[in-house]
Amino acid sequence: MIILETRNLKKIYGEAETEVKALNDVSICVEKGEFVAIVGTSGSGKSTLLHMIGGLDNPTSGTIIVDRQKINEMNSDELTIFRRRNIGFVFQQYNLVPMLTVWENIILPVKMDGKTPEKMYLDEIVKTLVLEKKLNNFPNELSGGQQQRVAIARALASKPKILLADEPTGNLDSKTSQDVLGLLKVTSQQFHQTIVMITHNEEIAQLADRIIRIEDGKIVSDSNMMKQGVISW
Amino acid sequence: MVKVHNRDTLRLLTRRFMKMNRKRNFIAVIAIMLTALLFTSLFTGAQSLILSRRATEIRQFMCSSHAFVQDLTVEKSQKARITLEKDENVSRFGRGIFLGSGMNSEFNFSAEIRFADDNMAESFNCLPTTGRLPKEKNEIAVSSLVLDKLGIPHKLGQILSITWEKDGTDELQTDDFILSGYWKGDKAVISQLLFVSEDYAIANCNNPTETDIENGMFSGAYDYTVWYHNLWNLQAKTDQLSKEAGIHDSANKFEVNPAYDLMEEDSFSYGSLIILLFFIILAGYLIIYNIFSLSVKTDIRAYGLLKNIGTTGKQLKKIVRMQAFRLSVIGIPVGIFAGYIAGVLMSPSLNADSTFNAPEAASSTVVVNADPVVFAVAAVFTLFTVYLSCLQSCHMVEKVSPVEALRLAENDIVPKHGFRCKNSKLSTSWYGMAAKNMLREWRKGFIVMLSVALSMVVINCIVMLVNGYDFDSYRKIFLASDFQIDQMTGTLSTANFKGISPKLQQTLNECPYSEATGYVYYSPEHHGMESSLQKVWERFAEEYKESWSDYENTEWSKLQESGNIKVHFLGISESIFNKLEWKEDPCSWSDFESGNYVIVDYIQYLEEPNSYYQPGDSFDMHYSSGDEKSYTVLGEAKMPYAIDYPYADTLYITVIVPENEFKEHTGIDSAMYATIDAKKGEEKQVQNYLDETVLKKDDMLNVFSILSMRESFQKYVSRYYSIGAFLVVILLCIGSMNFFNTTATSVLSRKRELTLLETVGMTKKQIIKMLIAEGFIYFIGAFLIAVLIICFASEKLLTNTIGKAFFFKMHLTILPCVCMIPLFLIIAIVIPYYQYQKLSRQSIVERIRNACCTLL
Repeated sequence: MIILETRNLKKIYGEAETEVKALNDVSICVEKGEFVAIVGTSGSGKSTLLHMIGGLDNPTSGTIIVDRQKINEMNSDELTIFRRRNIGFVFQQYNLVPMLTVWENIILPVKMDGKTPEKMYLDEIVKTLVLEKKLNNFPNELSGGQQQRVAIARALASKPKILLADEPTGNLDSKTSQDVLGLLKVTSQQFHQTIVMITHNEEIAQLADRIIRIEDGKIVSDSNMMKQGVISW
Repeated sequence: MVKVHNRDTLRLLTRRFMKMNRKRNFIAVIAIMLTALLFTSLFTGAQSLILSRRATEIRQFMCSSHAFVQDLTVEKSQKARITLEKDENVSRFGRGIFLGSGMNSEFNFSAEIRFADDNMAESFNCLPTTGRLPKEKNEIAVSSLVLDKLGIPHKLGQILSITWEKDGTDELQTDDFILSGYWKGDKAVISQLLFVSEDYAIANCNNPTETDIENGMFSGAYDYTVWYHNLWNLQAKTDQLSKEAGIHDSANKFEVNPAYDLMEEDSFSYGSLIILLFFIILAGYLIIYNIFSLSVKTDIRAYGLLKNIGTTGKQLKKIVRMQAFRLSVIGIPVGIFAGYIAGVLMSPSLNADSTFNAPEAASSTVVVNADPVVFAVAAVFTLFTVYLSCLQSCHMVEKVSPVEALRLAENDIVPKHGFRCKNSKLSTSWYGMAAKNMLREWRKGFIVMLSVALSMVVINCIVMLVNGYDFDSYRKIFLASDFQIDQMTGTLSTANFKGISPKLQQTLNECPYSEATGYVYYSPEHHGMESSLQKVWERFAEEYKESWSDYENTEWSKLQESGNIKVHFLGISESIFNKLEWKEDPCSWSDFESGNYVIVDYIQYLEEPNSYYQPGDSFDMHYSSGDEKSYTVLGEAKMPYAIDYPYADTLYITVIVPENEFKEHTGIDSAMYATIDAKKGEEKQVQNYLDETVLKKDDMLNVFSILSMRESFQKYVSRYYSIGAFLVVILLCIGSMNFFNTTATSVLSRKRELTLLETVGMTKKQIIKMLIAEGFIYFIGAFLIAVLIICFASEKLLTNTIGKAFFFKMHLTILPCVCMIPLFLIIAIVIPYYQYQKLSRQSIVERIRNACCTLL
């Protein structure tokens, strides 16, 4: 089942001479439960693509369909609500809300939606991510790895259709990076979670089920399609 | 959209945001408190002004009911009575019959004989405190002043012999009455009242017809006073009464008591109130806006992150508004309490100016009460101001872009419009960086400058206002000499133009401390107009007829018909002659004294030629006493305002002769005014002399002295001193708080940036210098804005609003602004220094780590 699809996605900044095509005709499909890595160098457009998919930014043209909903046609408030119900984010900077405790950070998206957090499910996530002892701490009392684990827990709390991870290990040392990635992989399998991860690190990308390469706003390779013989080197 | 129940979460977030911004909360609560304080004191002050004015008018004009009707015939009175009994709006009414004036020779005040029921007597503020109103035909109730004048002890059952004149006739009637009640008399009121029973009134009055009443024969005319259930819509209710009673077309219909007619208030201007309201909203807005805008900017990343993970713009707005509301809940009640105290303390001086002359001064009453409505209105206005102030912050969080928040996280704040400086030496110096920092957030800077400038401008204006009141121009209007004595009153009908008897004159002449004593005598006369004089008046009429009242128009047609003009005929002594305001060169007393000359006035409101007569013209005087004499016009002059005929009049000329000439032909030997100029430095002795020789014997005399004038002037000016001082304190608070807040937040919000600057080699000293330079730029900007506003706008602003008083003379100064420099300089230096010192207690590494982790 296709959970995410982009058709001819374009994002252009500036006009005429200063025009920059951050995304140029990008079309991808992601199946439910897939762990996809989008790889590219700095400035290749991978973060822009992630922002579009997550409904953080609007494309110049093209269509984005998440779980059969065309999100490029939504207004700002609809997008916000869409995000909180369907997308989980993990950022390089962790981006935890500083004045809330770990537990409050995790349940915030669920609470925002006026729902009661599922205690059993959340306990399982907390246990998987080894955060049981840190629940009452504030973000600035945690190490980088711990903060990133909280971010992953928060992203999973609302059972999103897609979890988007933007360089999730960019700020971590290699040992912690391994831990965090391992956890992402585990979650993907354990909760049958679709994950789209951005990275510039080939090694990290290898952990994913599928690797999409992007350069100058265009897709240059897709391991899935290579398997199917659609694109050849 | 589906409504979700996330109120608790929003509350939690609000709580946490507030916890994170403790300092801001403190400053914001003070700012909200000050705003509430200003609103409450303004409303309490305004309300007290209205109520005090009302209480004073009720006392002076002897009418405490909401509406009244006067001088009805018996038939109309019956209709009015039926209407009042039926009308649902009326809660109660009083009834009275007017008979005439008390004429006992002992009375040196105006006295009225009438019948009044309890309600009517209450409306007059003349309900007997001892005894009761008369019931039997031979009973009477009077004020204690009447008893004192008649030399009768304050005891019920005493016999009073009262002589009275049936109004509109010359019939005098004397009857003996038994005292059934009395009350404490009030000298401030227009007449003393003597109440007789209804039976006596009906038996002894004429039943006046419509025509009688039109011709001023009021004996036997009925009066009613009316109270409604509430004060809403008095005019409409009153008009309705007139209509129902069928008297809405006649001259005597139901009228609203002027004391309840707020639009008539002359001492209280709605314009000033609106200006003050606008000013308070602006002052409150500028500071609260700045506080919220700074705090939201500092927390913008947190708001962005919340949006990122699914908080909508509306919810974020709600979080900001809930913070503002929680701060208001603390600030407003405290502000209202403080404002009420301030309002109560200021009320007496607020009312100081309504007391220009002696009888009014004696009857001015100050009313202050704690009205929940006033507090509620102040609270609503404060909330409104807070709401306005938050609008921009709400807009900012609503529009924060989630992507932008990510960027903020990664690269800290990036200026949208980079101001580039070509000279790299300048741009990297501490002062260059300070200037660039300012330009980076010029809008914030401008608001701070404006707010500080506002405080400076108002403080400056208050000082200019207080300095602008000029005692000499004030004095001239009320006094032509150091002391002035008369028996004039606020209304023509009760004035005594012969108040200064020859006996009194003798006493005054004997005063050893006086330099010169003078008298002005008055007699109303008429003069057949010569054709040249008639032309002057025709020209005058042409110019001003449109603005004339009905009364003036009738007078004008009478004047044209008869060809006789009213003359204010005045006799003056030498010291008054020396005070005349001459049109051309002054003439000499020795010529004038001969009795062959007159001095005439001229029309001020016409362009040349505006003279009635030229010097040398002859003037034939036909006295009302029958005497006739032909005079020569010596010159043209006006009487000083303070000793001229004091009542409004349009169609007349003033003719002045020496006092002996006046006495000889009019037979009047009592003067209208006496003036005394004291020997230098002996004003107090003159005052004492007057107190002991004159006032002890006759306390109905008005004595105006330069001493009390100076006191009342001080009182008037002190009103501005006290309100001014109050405003100065509040505005200094607001201005310096704003300045403080800006400088303090500019350090705190740039923690990371400053740390980075230190990391790359800027010394602490340089950073502090940069911060102080930023503060200086704010201050210099504010100072310049203030000076510009003062120089270009303050004069117009002041002379058109509060500085309307005739004795206000504008002196432009910026000295008060200059005096405020040290205070602001101290803040500009101490705050950044202190804040940065506090910041640098942590090591650079710690600061970078903290800044990276929390970015707060």
